[in-house]
Amino acid sequence: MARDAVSKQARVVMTLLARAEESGDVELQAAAVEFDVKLDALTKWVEDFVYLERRLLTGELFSPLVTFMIDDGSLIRHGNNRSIRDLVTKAPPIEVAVGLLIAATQYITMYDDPDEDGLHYPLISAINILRKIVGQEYPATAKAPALLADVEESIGSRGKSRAQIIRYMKDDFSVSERTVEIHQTYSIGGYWYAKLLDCGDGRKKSFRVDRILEISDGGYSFPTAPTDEIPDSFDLSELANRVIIRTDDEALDALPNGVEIDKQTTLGDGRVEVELIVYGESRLDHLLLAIGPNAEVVGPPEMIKRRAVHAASLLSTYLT
Amino acid sequence: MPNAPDERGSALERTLILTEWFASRRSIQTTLQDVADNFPEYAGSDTETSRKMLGRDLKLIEEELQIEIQWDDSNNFYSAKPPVFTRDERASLLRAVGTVRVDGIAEDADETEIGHARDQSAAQIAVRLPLIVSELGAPIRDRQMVEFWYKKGERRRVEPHRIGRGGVAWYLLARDKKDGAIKHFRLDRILEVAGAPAIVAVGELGAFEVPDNRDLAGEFDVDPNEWGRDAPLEAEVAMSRDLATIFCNTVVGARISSEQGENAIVSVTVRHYVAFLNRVLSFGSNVRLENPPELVEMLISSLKQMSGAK
Repeated sequence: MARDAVSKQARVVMTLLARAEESGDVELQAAAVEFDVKLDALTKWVEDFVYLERRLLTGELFSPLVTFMIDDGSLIRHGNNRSIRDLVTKAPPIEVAVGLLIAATQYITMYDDPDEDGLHYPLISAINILRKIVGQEYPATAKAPALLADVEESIGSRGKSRAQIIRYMKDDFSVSERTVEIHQTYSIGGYWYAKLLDCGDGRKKSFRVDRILEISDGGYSFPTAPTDEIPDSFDLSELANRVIIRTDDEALDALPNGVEIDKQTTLGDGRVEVELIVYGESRLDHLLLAIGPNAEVVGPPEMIKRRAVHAASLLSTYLT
Repeated sequence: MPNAPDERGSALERTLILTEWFASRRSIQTTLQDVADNFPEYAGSDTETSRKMLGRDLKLIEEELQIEIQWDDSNNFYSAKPPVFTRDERASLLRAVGTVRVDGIAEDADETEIGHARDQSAAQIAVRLPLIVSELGAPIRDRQMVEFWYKKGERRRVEPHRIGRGGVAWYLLARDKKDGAIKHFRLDRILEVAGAPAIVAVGELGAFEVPDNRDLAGEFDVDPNEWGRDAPLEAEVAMSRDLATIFCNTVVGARISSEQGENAIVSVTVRHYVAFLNRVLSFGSNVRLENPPELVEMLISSLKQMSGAK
């Protein structure tokens, strides 16, 4: 048989084993369509591995333990024996290793009972191997806020969760008390969020956990909500404000978090002109002053005025 | 039913069983004769033909299954290399990948790579890496210098030491060849080059040593209150107790020094005046800088300039 054909077969089988191991049952009919192979042929390739045994010339029956089986047209992981993928001797490509290292480092910082399932120390060992492959280490990127554990404790794993009363500080620093039903926690871009139902207005929202000042029991239970896949990012486009400033280039390094640099032009006097995007009104006000007096707001006109008014308002509190 | 002793399976089956057989003999030195004594495919022909056929099969195993079985030329035997991860190490990585989704790197990696067939719909954490991280991986590992355009168009040549975060921004810690100083380069300030990589590796591998210091682990100290060089001043800022909690989580070194009713005084040693005042300003009228007088004067001066007051 041509080597190319065996290569393709091996690649397909290894891909299906990866899916069965990492994501669950693999329907062979769908896989046959995807890989453009007749179902009979694909099934035979998979069977070659799943029923792997051979009587050797010595008469010995060689029958390695295989952790997969075929059931009702699907390749499934069965039991907890090792996989042929456990034999891989080649280090993953560096990009894969970086991703694994970041995931593993983040994961290991998240749990109080590190070895409840016996995989904590293997994970430390895996991290050390990945560090050598990558040539550096990565810090955890989403530090757990102080109240994250309390927020997560309210989410029941056995079908019932407890409502909570929280004191929450919004972006504009106003504080309010709310009764909420917390559905799940998740982290994007270094911040932790609680996805919840705000019982005050009946709307689903995501609150930053580090902005929750206090949390206490709300006095009743509710059915635990199913979790959703976390988004790639928040769509804040409706809240976008644009400001054009001129400033020293170094000052751009100190822009507040969440401010995006859109367009940048070098000026002849050693400064740069940049168009910044900032989301939300209170963040806009923060930005207009946080860029400091050496930065000049040059547009749009309403932003020039807004900055002056906001600065004058603050100034008055210091002059009284 | 097992195969008869002289029955030959498919080429794929032979490849897989040969892999497992070698793995079962990891501690045993295996000769070509051992292979021929067990597998009919390699028996019955001359040694050179069998060696070539086995060599082809082992190459296929290495390329497609990523499993290396080596020939020891001086001792004339084959042996399987140890796996890169143990089974438990691999299982622990798969568990981590199920919880933490890392976007922006290796997104088109083959599904056979660890974790790349993983269902991440239940992931709890998403980490998005700047795309440039993938360009810096190999030079950092290989200790090779890199060049890039930075900020408003300066060409920089640096020794890349490591990538990390400070706050929510990503940085490259590197020695700048221009002045020999170790600096933090914000990745979002490295300019993109249309149709070309932003990072260009130059020179030999192993061109420099990475200094062994604490910056190689953990988060970067990019808070101005940590690296600032102004003469330290003790500042006091009045605010609500609620905001004090947030302020102390935001400004490195800030602590609540006194509380009265709903109000609090937060104290902090200031090492970068301008950055600190800008930070105070970002809290608007919700905080009031009380001390020291020289910083209050600077703040008032800033506000006068920004308000247009004389």
